[in-house]
Amino acid sequence: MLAYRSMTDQNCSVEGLSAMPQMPAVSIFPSATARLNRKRKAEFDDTDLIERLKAGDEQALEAIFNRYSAKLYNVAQRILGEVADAEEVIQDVFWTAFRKAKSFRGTAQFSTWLYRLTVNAALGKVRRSKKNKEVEYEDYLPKFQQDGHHSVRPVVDWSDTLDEKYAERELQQLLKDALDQLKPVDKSAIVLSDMEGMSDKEIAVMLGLTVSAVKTRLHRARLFLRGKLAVHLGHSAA
Amino acid sequence: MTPRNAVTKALTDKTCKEITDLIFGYLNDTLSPSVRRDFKRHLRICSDCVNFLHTYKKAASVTRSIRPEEIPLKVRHNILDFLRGQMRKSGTDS
Ligand SMILES: [Zn+2]
Repeated sequence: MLAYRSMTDQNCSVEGLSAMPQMPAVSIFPSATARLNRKRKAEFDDTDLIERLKAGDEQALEAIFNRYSAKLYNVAQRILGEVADAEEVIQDVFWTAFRKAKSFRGTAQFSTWLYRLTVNAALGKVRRSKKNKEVEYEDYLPKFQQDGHHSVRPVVDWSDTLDEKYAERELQQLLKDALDQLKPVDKSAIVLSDMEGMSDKEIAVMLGLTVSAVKTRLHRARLFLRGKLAVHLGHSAA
Repeated sequence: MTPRNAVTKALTDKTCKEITDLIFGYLNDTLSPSVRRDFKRHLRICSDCVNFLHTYKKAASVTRSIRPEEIPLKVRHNILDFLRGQMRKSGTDS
C-alpha cells in the first residue's frame, strides 16, 4: 500500500541547477552539518527501540510514537491540506512500522523510513481525493521577453509591504492556501525542505526523485508561491 | 566603450531569465565562483532582478515561518488506542 513511488519527470533540470557541490555557507536554509548531527543523534537513540520493536515490544512502539508523531503529523497534515485529517495516515504509518519492523536492516534509515511511509501515504490520499486543489502554475510564474528581460517592468519589490498589509495570521493562511494549490509532490518537497529542514538529497530519497529534479521542483514551487503573493498584493506575478 | 554600451554588454552576459533560474543556486550557495560573479554583476545593474530576488526570498521566508500543525490531544489518544487495540488483536492471533 505504502509503496515507494518513482516520478516520471525526475530527469528535468533547470540550467545552472545541476552538478552542484554541497555545502551551503551563507545559505538562508538550515546548516547541513547541524542537521546531520541532529539526525545522527536521533538515529543512535533509536537503536535500542528498534531492536525492541523487532521483538514485538508494544512499549517500544509507544516510545517511537511519542518521539516521532508530532513531526510526522505536521508533515502529513501539511501535505494533505484541506483534503483530509492526518489521523488515519499517522495511525497507518505506526501500525505498518510495528508490523514491518523485522524488515529494517540497521538503524541508519529508520527515521527516513518513517518519513517516507508518511509522505507516500499522504501523497496517495491527496492524489485520490477530489478535493485536491492543485492549479496550473503558468499564471503565477515570471514571464520574459524574447531578449530575456522581465516582461512586466519595473518589477516591484513588495517584500516590505507584505508585513504592513497583512497580520501574521492572515499571511500564514494566505501561504497555506497557496501551498494547497501546488502539485502534491512539489508541496511535499516544500514541506520537507522549508518546514523539516531536510537537504535536497534527503528529499530526493524521500520522493523517489533525482536531486536535480528536487531542486527544479523546489524552485518552481517557490516561484509559484512568490507569484501568488504578488498577485494577492495587486502586482503582476511576472 | 560608452557607459550605455557597457550596461548593455553586462546585461547580455546573463539575461534576467537566466538570472531567475540561478536564484535557487545563489541562495543555497551552490553556484560556481564564476557564475556567482556573473549573477552578482547582473544584480548590480538590474533593479528588476534585485526586486525579484527580494520578493522570492520573502515568499520563501514566509513559507518557512508557517507554524507546525500540532497533533490534537484527542487525535493522539485515538491513534494510541488504535495501536494498542491492533497489537492486542495481533497478540491473540499469533
Ligand atoms: Zn535582470
